[in-house]
Amino acid sequence: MSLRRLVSLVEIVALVAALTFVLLLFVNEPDDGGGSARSTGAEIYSSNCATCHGATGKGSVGPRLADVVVGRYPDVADEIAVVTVGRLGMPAFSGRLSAEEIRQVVEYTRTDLGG
Amino acid sequence: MTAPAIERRDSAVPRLLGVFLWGAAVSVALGVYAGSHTPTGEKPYSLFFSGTLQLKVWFTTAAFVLACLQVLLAMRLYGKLRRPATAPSWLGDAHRLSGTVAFVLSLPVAYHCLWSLGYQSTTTRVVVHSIVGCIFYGAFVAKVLSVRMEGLPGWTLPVVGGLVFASLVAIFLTSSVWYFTDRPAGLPLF
Repeated sequence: MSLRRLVSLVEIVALVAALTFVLLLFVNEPDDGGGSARSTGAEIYSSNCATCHGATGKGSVGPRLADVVVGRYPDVADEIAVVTVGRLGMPAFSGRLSAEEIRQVVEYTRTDLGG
Repeated sequence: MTAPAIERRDSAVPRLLGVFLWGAAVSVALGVYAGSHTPTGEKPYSLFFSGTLQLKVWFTTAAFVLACLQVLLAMRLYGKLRRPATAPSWLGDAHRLSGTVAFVLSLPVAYHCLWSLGYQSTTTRVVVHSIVGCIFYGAFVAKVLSVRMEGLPGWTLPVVGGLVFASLVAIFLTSSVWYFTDRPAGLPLF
């Protein structure tokens, strides 16, 4: 196969791959659905925390929350304070989330994520 | 200035505007999707890497290396580099191939960013990464159109190509380089 034909073939593959990924953006939703079925705390967590702490709270760039966060912060006010003003590499969320939203996402980490 | 030259300039303006508008539309559409779609937070693939994050870091790095190669090949094609003294006949095809493969490598990375993470503004790095990621694909579409379309001013392709490369460099710096240098202890490199 000549290089020119290979390039043409790869370009077709690239076009198909691009169209597939665009299609998947709209049709591929997780089984648990999102939208109205999800609690506000879960939505806030997904939008603001999952990047670093992982979708299920098992940690990624940021530390693990699932199963450990209640042990680390027995007083819920301490965890709320960390989310509000930030700590080490974690940014402050006081300007991004309301006090009520911070409370909801903290509750979510302590209950649904298995605190 | 002669009349044909003025005519050429007049006919180039709508084409140039079309290229710009298509590129801008793609960037804005991606930004709107990233901002409005509820992030799934899922990690759908890792191949032979330890996780999706590591896959994205290395795919981005590979795309960056290929983009550097593509720029060098373009510089030789347009005579900005003099080595090798005689340009091989396959130079143009190699230029196209390296760019196309870099684009393909970027797709699973962008898909995860858009679908799983969405637009984020937690830190300056993340804001810059989100915005430049959208600009990259708009610039890429503008570049492909510039290559295919005739009658555009001679500066169009280098400017749009430069924007594609610059945005990819910014993406690389705010993701892979950050991961290589600042990742928290315990996260695997691969």
